[in-house]
Amino acid sequence: VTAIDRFDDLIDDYLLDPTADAGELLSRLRADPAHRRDFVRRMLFESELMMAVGTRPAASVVPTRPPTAAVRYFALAALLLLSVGLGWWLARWWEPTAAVPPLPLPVSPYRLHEGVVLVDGEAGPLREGAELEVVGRQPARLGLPDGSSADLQPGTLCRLGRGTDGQRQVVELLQGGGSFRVVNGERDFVVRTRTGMVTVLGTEFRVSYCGARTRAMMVAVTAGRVRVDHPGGSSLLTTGDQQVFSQGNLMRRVVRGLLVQVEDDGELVVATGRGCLHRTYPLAEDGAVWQADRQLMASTLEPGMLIELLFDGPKVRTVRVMRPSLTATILAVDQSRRRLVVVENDGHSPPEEYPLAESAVLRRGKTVIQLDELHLGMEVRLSLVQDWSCIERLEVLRAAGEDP
Amino acid sequence: LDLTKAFLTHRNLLFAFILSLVRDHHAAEDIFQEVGLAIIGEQDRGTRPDDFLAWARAICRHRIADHFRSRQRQERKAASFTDLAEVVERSFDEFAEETNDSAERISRLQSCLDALARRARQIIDARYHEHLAIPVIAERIGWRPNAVKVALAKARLALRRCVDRGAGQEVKP
Repeated sequence: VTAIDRFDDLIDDYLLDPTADAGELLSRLRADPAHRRDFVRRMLFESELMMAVGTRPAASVVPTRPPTAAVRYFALAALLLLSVGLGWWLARWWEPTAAVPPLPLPVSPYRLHEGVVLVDGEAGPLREGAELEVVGRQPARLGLPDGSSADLQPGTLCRLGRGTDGQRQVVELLQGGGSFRVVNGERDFVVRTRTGMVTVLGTEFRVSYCGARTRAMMVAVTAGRVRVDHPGGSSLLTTGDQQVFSQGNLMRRVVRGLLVQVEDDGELVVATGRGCLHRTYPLAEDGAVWQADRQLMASTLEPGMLIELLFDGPKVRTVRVMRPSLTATILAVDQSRRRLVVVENDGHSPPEEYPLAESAVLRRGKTVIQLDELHLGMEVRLSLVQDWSCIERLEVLRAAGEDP
Repeated sequence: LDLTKAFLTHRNLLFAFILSLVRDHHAAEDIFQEVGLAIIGEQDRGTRPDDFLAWARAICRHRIADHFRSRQRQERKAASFTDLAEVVERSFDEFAEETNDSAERISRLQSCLDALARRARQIIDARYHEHLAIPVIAERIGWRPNAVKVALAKARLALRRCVDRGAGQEVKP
């Protein structure tokens, strides 16, 4: 489907911009008879559409007979009669009135900075209350009236609204998810799903909602604090926290960070949020420590380890020692947004999207390379910052199809 | 062989061929008319080609080349036109036989257009009747050009599906 869409896009670009380079279209037409057939069908449809909407190219080709003198006189007489009638009607009914200035068009307080969004199923300006759908393969970046922004993933469905008195902005997430960067303000910024409501004053966080399938909602906080109200109660999440909520239940709570210290009573001091915030978590008596598929003794935990904590209530049930880097394969490179979609080469992790830190260093061997030198299928080793929010170092291990 | 009749029978195919090389609705219409007049002129001279479509496409190609020359396009364009004409003509040569009855399809398309949502219909009309460029349509209706492009593609897809499954069906762009 993607290949067909791309080909259709190529034809669109070819038709819409006569000066555009047709090199890729030309090669595809040369290479593939199926593309040649699709091209002919598309061009025929273009022609049919022109004819159907009123332009009939053949009509003017067949010469028409010039009108006879009698027809010309009849047409002139009819025109005169019509003019007299129109003049009489205007003289009788027309009264000068003050000119009414045109009403200014309402300006939407929402802005679409990137991506393609359908508004109630049609392309158009963003408006409150309408159902928005992010279409295409790129995320959509929306600017909200209070200065906050939302990066919505492809396929996301949502509604925007101002909310009640205590809320400055409400984003109702029907499906999909995105990252929200919320500017500080006196009133609440709310992201609502059928599973729960995330309330913030100013922070950066991600929400993913599975909609009709499972009604599971994942909230990950990059910076600041959020409160999640759900049928089972309220939860406060802070920087580095990631938690999954289903209807009424906390399914999973995850904290990732750098282990700073293991207290004598077994409490773990963890630095989250790029090391700025130290928090203490109690380890359950039967808590387990794992590194990959190997269970370790709790005493092997050492400061400096990157760990992931899984909770059972307030206590840590499982500590996973994370590798300081991960080996992955590149699935997509978004150069404009400096983001990579990668899948870890462990055989079971789902694809993840990571932004590149401003100071990220990309290398191939000893050579520093640029982002545009990264390609689909490359095997890379990534070093992430402490809260796993972005890549700080990338090393290309091998290109697609290259021997290790 | 009645050339005028053959021309009218295949007018849609010929127009599509011209449009695919010229990429400009107005210019394509002008060239199409010139081709039509040329074919009617050949009829009067008693020309009887064995393969009407191949012969008519050759006339189209010459007229299109004239069009580009008269516009004094850059050499690069002229060169790319030669390459393009070869591939496009091959495409039409291979698949022209598969085309359905245009008259019936256009009649169905008109019914489908009537069933199209109002905004989608406006965009289709602006593009295919008024031949407006995407940025102009976008400015007129206050949308972003990319949004117009997407809406146009969706409307076109909906219409194609409607035509393929029969007119009078609901059209959802």
